[in-house]
Amino acid sequence: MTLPADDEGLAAEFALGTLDATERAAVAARRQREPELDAAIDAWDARLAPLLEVVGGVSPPADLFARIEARLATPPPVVDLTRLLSAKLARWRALAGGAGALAAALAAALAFVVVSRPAGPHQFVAALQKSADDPAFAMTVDLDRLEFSVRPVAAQAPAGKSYELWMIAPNGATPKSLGVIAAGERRLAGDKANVRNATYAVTLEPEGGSPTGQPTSAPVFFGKLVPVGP
Amino acid sequence: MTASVSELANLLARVAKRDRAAFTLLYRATSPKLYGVVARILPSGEASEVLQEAYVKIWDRAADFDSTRGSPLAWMATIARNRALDEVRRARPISLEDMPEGFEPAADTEDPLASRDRSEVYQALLRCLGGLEADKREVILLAYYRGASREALAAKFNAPVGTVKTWLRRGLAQLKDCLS
Repeated sequence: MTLPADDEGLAAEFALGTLDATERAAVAARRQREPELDAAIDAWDARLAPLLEVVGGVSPPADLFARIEARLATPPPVVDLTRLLSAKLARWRALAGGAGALAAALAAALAFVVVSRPAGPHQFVAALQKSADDPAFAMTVDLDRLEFSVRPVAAQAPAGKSYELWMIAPNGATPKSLGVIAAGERRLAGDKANVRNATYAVTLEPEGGSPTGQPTSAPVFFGKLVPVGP
Repeated sequence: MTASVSELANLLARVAKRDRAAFTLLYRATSPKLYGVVARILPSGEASEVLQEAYVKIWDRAADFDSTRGSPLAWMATIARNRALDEVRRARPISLEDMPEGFEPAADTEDPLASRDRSEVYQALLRCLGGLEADKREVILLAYYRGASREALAAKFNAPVGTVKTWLRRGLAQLKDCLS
């Protein structure tokens, strides 16, 4: 351990507990990104922990365990899709001239396969994918009728899980569930400009869809709409 | 508390796999000890709140427990003690007189002959603490067992805060040398 003497002292006092609130918070933040400081604090915790051997037991309040259990039962945390996607989207936009065009071409090719009726001016399609050449779902949207359908190209949900589709409006509002992915035409709701410019993302959820109404995992596939027609 | 180190490690491993029954057993086996640790630092209302948070954290982080780096009970008690310290530091300036009554730092009252059934690491630590000057030993023990701040220690020992800091740093450095 080649920690500066003052950091060694800080680590020792952090473990002992004598730092004031400000110093304590600063060291707690530093240990998250400084492995040597973190290791020094762990070492001090271990050095001092034998003192706990002689601490006598005190019975906690009888209802405490029930209160702890109630907190364990809280629903899974909501995943911020918008935040998770923003980095990917930024990269996507940066590649707009190359891979972006490729994605658009791919989406158009998919549209040819999946859109059964002639493409009107309000027909859009998105390839929901992990990378530019790996489409998993083809999504078609009729902006006039506000209808969409999603078909799997290559994806199959693992047993006991469902793929769920989300719409994330360009203003970065809370993701809106479009339901578990299933066959058939489905209704979309909302402002047409939002529907046109939204990002569509697919997450893997417990069978039947997210129990909370918000995503519980990071997106697996995502994409944006491109026009089908010329 | 009669659960052995290996029994507790086994329960923690099951808790890491989200086993609620194991969590119940773990709580029964360890909560008096952990409550004893936090109730020496905080009044009872806050102590039970902190104990709740500590067990939720133990549930969340059971998979992080590394048996090569210490005992399961020490790992859990350190989580509880750290939460108690966060709370006592954030809450307000506190003097030793304000602290929960009825608890004396255990090592002060420990009969050295009775320590034969304590672990070797505890006895080594006690020997090293015994080698410190009385003031340095006492500030370290009061801080560890009671969560005393530098200010509270300065008031109790009628010494400037800077002096208390020097006692703490030097005492801890000597302790490290002695233990290595």
